[in-house]
Amino acid sequence: MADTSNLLALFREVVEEVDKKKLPDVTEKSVIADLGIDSLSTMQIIGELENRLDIMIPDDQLVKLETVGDLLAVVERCAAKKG
Amino acid sequence: MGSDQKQVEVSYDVSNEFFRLWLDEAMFYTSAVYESADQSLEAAQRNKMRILCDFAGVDATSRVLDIGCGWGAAIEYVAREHASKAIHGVTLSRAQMDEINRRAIPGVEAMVQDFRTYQPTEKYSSIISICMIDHLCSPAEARQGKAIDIYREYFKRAWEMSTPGAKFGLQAILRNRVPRDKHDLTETYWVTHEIFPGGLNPRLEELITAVNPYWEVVEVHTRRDDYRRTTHEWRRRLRANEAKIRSEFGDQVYVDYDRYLSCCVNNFEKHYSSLAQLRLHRIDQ
Ligand SMILES: C[S@@+](CC[C@H](N)C(=O)[O-])C[C@H]1O[C@@H](n2cnc3c(N)ncnc32)[C@H](O)[C@@H]1O
Repeated sequence: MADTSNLLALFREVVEEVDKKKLPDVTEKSVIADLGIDSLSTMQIIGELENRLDIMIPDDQLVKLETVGDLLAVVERCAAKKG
Repeated sequence: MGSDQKQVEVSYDVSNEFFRLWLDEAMFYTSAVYESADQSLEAAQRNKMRILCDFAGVDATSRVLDIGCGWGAAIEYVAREHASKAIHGVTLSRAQMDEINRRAIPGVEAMVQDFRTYQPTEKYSSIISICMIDHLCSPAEARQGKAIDIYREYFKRAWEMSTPGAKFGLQAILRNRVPRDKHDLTETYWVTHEIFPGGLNPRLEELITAVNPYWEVVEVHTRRDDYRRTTHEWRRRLRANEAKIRSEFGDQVYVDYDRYLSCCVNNFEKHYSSLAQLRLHRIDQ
């Protein structure tokens, strides 16, 4: 079962790897675009989260992702189903 | 608002002679439907039209509208094969209109006209639209969740322009799955923004939702591998004309179109993109 207990920490780690950005102050309320993460990087980050958690997120769930929390909720739902 | 006229002209007004060098002889800039492993692109394009004319119920008595008529390939096919009573086409590209005028196809009327504001004097019994819907919703609008409303407006306009009992043959390139891989993502973004600015391919479920309450989906076919084969053949012809294209249209045009077609082949191969053909019947009220 995927470890979703600390998705925010995992998100931070993945952003650092994919986008070479450190995000010490990121919270679930942070707006993704405000963190300087564009839509191209967002998809790469999603891909890396999928790899790490061994999940495949259906694309139709990837609309209206504004905040980090929106994104992590989709990831969490998908990972929970897998478990 | 999808692609405006300027953006459409980025996609189609490079030069008619340039596109003539690598498209089929009728100049369809959309997928063919192959019937066998050794069929030519030309024959497969006619086969695609045979299917869409059947979906749209085209015969000699029909009043036919082609929404997004390109260089006139489909309306020319309808004129030649069915000699329908009225055969109209709309495009946003002035270069395409020049080519249609040059062809002087008997019985055909085409115009540079935005479909969204087109007011026909008489309604149509058959509608054909081949890969025009991908110009209607921009990536930003899709991210805001506006795609279905935008596509529904297109189906509503087609409904308003058609007579009771009308049939619609729709072909649309599809977005299946956005790549996660950096290279594939970068290439797909580049094509979306540089070759087809303002547009985005719809998802199949968006189309299925958006036809309501105007059109009944009677038949759906996906033809991903046909589009892979079509784009592969376009690239083969482009490469066969490399020297001529570089000297007449410039190195950048050659490099960009080779890059774009390579991205298409890859995207169909990896299921990022696909193609759908829909047989739609008007829901009369
Ligand atoms: C990919 S091309 C396809 C052309 C043609 N149907 C074919 O099969 O080769 C898309 C076409 O849609 C037209 N188009 C895009 N937006 C349009 C609009 N709002 N109104 C009318 N035509 C439009 C373009 O001018 C172009 O001719």
